[in-house]
Amino acid sequence: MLVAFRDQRFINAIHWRIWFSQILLLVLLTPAFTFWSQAIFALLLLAKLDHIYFNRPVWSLGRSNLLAALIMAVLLVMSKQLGIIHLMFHFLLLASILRLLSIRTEDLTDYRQLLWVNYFLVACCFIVHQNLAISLCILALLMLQLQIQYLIFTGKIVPTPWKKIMLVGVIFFPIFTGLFVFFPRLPPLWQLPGAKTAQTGLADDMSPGSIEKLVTSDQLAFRVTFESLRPKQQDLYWRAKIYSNFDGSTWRSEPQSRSRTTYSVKPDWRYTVITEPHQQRILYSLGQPAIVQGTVHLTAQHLVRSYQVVSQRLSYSLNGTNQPLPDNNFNSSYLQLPAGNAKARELAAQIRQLNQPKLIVDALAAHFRDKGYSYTLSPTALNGDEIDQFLFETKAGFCSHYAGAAVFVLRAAGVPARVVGGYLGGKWQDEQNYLQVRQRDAHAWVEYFADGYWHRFDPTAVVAPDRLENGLDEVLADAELSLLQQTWVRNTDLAQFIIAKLDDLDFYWSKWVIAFNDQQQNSIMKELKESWQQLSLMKIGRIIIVTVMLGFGVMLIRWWLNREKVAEPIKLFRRLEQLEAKTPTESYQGFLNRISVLYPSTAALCQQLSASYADWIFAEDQASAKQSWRLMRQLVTRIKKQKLSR
Amino acid sequence: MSNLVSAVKLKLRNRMWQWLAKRQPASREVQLNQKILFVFPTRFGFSTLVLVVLFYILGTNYQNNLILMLGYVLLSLLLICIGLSYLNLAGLKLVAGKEQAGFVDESLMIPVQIDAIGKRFAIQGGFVEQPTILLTEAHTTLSLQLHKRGLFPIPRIKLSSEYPFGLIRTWCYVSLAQNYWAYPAPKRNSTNQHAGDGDLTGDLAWHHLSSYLPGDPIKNIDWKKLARQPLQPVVKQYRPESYDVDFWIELQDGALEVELSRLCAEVLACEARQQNYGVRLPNLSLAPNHGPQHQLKVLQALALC
Repeated sequence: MLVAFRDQRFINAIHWRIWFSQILLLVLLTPAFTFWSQAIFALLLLAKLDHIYFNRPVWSLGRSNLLAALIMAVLLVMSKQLGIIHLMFHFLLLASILRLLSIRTEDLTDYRQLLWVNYFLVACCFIVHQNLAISLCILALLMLQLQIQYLIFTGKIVPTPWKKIMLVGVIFFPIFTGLFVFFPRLPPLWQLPGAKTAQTGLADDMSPGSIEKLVTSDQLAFRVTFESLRPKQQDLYWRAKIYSNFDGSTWRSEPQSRSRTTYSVKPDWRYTVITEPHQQRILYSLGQPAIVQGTVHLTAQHLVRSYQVVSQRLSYSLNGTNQPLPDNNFNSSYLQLPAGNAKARELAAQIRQLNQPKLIVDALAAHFRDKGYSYTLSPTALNGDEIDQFLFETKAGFCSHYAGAAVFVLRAAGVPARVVGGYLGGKWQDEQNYLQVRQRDAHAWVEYFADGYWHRFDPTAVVAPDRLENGLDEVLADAELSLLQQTWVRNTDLAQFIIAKLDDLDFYWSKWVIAFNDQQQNSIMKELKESWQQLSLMKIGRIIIVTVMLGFGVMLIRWWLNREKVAEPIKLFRRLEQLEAKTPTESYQGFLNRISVLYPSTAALCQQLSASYADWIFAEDQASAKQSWRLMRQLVTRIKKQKLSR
Repeated sequence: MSNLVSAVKLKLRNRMWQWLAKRQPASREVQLNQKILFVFPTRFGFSTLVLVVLFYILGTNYQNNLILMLGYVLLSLLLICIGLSYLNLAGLKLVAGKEQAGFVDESLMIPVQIDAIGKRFAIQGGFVEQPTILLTEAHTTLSLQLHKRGLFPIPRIKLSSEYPFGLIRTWCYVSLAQNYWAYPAPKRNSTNQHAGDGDLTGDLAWHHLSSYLPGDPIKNIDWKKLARQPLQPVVKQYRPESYDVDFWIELQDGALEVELSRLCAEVLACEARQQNYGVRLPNLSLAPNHGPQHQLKVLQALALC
């Protein structure tokens, strides 16, 4: 069945809207496109202007098929670079754009296909973006799509029926919310290919300087809410990576294997982390974690890992404890050292005399504290025996310098040790409801092995204790800080306030919508079940009464809104008309004359009323209005009496 | 095999019409309600359902709530459309019009009144198995191709709408108590022509006066009257004397339908030249006369013969 689809203006209106929605899609899907593919698609969209602006005929099917084949061939060549998912986005958008370029208006089939593909593309936008602001844009795009579909199937341009939309919304939202909250959720059915995008965040190897680069970024890394008591600021060491292999200048991260033993964890903290996508598998945890919820797993080194590359916001819940980390399969690789750095080895030989790892670490801490070390973002470049240079010549460095040097000395002194990469601290937001950790909080510290446990040691904290308490801003010299702030977003107080508030909104969006999962679903079900069981007769009665009263109120309001707006004179004659029918063509005075003939005894009254009515209406005399009402009441009672006596 | 399928289809179709005849017998006025309206997803509706399932799989595999939400938006929309689509047709009132008449092989325009259609959108209407049109006004005519002569009730009217999103279709087959006449197709038998027809050169007799129209021969102007009323010229109309003779329309040898077609054509010809004509049919004969009333009687007799 087709709707009459002849009106060129209508067709153009539809095509403009579809065209605009395709532009939006192209912009929203930017992260999935390369510069060249986006340029090609933009050109195709430009070509459509020829049809909708200059009213030229659309392309033939053959032409658009040929173009489709060509572009698809190019895309397939680029497929390695794009990755399978992004290639799919390309194909879908290509199908959509070319369909519009050669659309046939005599049938709705083309439009149906186009709409279908476009809905799929809207879903693809959600694979790429999840934050609140862009989600709202995508929602607007969805609204545009719905409007297009509505117009196509209404067959003409109609003004948006807001009232109807409101009414439909009242029905829509309960259904939608019910589906979202209660529809069963499943774990991933199968692994989907991830998108190919550059990794961000902590790198796989650490050399002096790599963390400094990270610190220049103000980007969000992850956010945390604590369901338990909040930990102290000095315990917020977010472990993410372990670097144990040193080649003289670079520390390499250790491949992680899944944990085989399960440790019981005394939960000091219970927290939920929502990470930003960083295209790696690493995740963040405090101390020794145990998984409560999430598609994540633990490694033998007590790190949390995602099963898939984190390409979209991911949420998981953990229990955590601040105790030293047990290690059942410790091996001697944590003592491995390359040759060189004689002075550092000398220092190690000195402190080795202390014989106990704890004492050795304390001695090293004392060395850092007392020998004039300083904390800086812009240390002198090192070469050759880098550890020696740092420890005995420059004596100024960033956390990566200290951590690397400390592990070197500890290993040389016979204490197994490793560098841990992650984040330190974070900023409490929204009245300390949640913790926001940014890339600038990146940090590196040390873990050493003693008595079957790994203990934390942060040499930077010894050199710059303020770093722990107050973050980077407090520790750095003003000049360095201002250098950093050039790369961080600089804003006025007001703008910062607004950005903070928007950030909060985005966080709650992530927490309640993006991170909503089967566990929360179950807890809602449970609560509902409990409250249902607690429903007593009294409560049910109360609910019924409230519902009835609400219904009554609504009816009252509707009656008030819909009550007849009738002129006073017409009301005056109502009662009389109930007794004696008035013909539509009759005037009220003629009506009264007829009444006086029908009921001769009321003739005088009728005449009076007629005169008084005329005064009221034509002379606008308010006194005669009252007079008319009085006379009418008399007349009505008299006629009633007569009718009864007949 | 295909024969069997089509036979089964035909049988099912007949069963459906019988069932409908019981459910909604013909009446002068029909208000559309849940008893006669059908609601079912369109193909696009089903493909949208497939889309929802795809979104569910995609959203589950990516653990992406936003894609799940998008799926639920479409699903809720689909559910709501059931109601909206129904409401677009519910409450419409179809009122039967006057009896119409036409000739076989022509299409007959049958007026139908649809009350309360003003606030509805995209309603397609037409007789069953006939082309449909977009209905927008209360008074509309639907076309019906005539195939057989006789007096018939109009076929069921199919109204359907995919408003508002093309996901759900609501439709109904309404039977209105209204008849139509299908007269035999007027067809001349070229070998068997009426003698005096089209031949104005024979004996002409004065017939009547009529006001002058441009193109009338000047020699026919009534000059005496023109002298009295110079602004209102009058022409004398002549016609063959044979036209004043009563003409009898009768069945002759030949196939009945062919003969009826010929008779029909002659009726129309006689009526056009205002000649009195009578009909003799096996079961009925009508005295010679002319005029619309007589023509109607004769044509109906031919239709029912």
